[in-house]
Amino acid sequence: MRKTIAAASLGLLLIAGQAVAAGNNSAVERVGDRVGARAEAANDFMGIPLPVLLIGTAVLVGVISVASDDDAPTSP
Amino acid sequence: MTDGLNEPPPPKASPLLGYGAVGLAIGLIWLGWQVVLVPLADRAPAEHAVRLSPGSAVVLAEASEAEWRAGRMDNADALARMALERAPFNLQALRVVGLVEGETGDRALADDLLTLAGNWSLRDDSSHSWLIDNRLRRGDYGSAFAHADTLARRRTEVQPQLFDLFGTAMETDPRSVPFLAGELADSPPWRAAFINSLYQRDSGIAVAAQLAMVMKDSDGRFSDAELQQLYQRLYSAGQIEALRQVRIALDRPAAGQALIDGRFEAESAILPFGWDLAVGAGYSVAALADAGPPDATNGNSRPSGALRVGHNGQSRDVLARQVTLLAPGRYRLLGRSRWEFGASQMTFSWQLVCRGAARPAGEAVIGAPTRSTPAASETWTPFSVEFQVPAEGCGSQSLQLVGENPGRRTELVIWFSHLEIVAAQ
Repeated sequence: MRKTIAAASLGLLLIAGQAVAAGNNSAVERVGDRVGARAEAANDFMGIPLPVLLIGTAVLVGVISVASDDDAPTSP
Repeated sequence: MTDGLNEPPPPKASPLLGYGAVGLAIGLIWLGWQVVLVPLADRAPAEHAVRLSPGSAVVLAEASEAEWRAGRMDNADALARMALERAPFNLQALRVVGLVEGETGDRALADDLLTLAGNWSLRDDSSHSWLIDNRLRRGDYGSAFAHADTLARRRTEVQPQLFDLFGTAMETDPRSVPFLAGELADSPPWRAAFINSLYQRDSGIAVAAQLAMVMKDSDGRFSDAELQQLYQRLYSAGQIEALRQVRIALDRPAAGQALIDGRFEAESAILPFGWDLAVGAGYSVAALADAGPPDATNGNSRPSGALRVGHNGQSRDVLARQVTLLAPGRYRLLGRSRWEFGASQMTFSWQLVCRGAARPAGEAVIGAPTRSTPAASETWTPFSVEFQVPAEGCGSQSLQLVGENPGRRTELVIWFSHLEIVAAQ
């Protein structure tokens, strides 16, 4: 399943790149997540405690502030 | 003379050749400039790189990310879209569009774009960290923790923050525990570091116990070493009732056994249950799997295991110890011993001591022979003692072996086997 998602994402990456370049954001359809499938009924879990959300944001800030260039494609 | 006058004039150089040479020189200069330009553009600051090579998708993508970092979202977006016009596969540019969209526009669209970027590269840390944040906001622990796992595998310096995220989530929201257990069940490289980090938290022991119980039926359940760490922490903290509950829930070692490995055959133990054998000066203690008396219970003559103690009669150290969780009541300690070598006034005692008590609740004393006889050295002699576990102040006990020698220094070897604690009638 992960390989299928990865293969599909390659095509979608191209489509997304073209769509964004053309200024048409809507061309990007919902995509499968190779790493962690999204829970479509995620609202069931609404109400995640604030400290957890704050730490999640801190992780984002911490990582982005020292992001590396090592973003080469990876195999599934 | 006439010969010289008749010589043909030297051929004139074609003007085309001159133009060609000039063109070639210009081409070589241009080629050289291009060769120099690529590394220059790669190394120059983004704003200069764009001037040097305004048509390069790579340079535009770099510039767009630099603009994004500087907080100039419009510039970043425009540059990233220009990069995508030239190279629709450019991951960096797509990521910048996604990040800009996430800050200034449609978060659902940003989620899709960054999911694509994350799918394409597990090393795209910015995308994965954004997805952690966004999936948590959407209330999706499973997906957030999966992206956190991707990040933790690559970035050890971010692990403390991620471990804090996991620990806080488990402390404040029990719904998160199964999702984290799912990630740990795959035994990621950060598993040991995370479990260690749990014990630095105020309520880390409770969280670790909860995690161990959730994972007990999975392939990635707590290893013996991890379980021993948890049990020892609970025991050291005096949380005996919690220790009892966790052991019963996990059934490791089997909760129905009052004494673990009384035949000294196990290759390893999950302390404090199982034998903790001492190492020190003046004695040697070792469990040998096939040195005991034949085991009548297994229907054949295979020898059981036994504990060998060599002692010089000087040390008073505890030689072997095991924690028990006996309920209040009356019990009998049974066992067998065999003197292999030596004769003295020395005694060895198996003592059952309530945690924190000064005196043992029960004690089986085995005295050394006053003179060594070869026949006695082959004989396994049974011993037993009854003791009472009081109803108050004795939630856990230690069964321990100590030696005492009122006489002179000596050399002794004694064996023990078939230890058992049973309820007294």
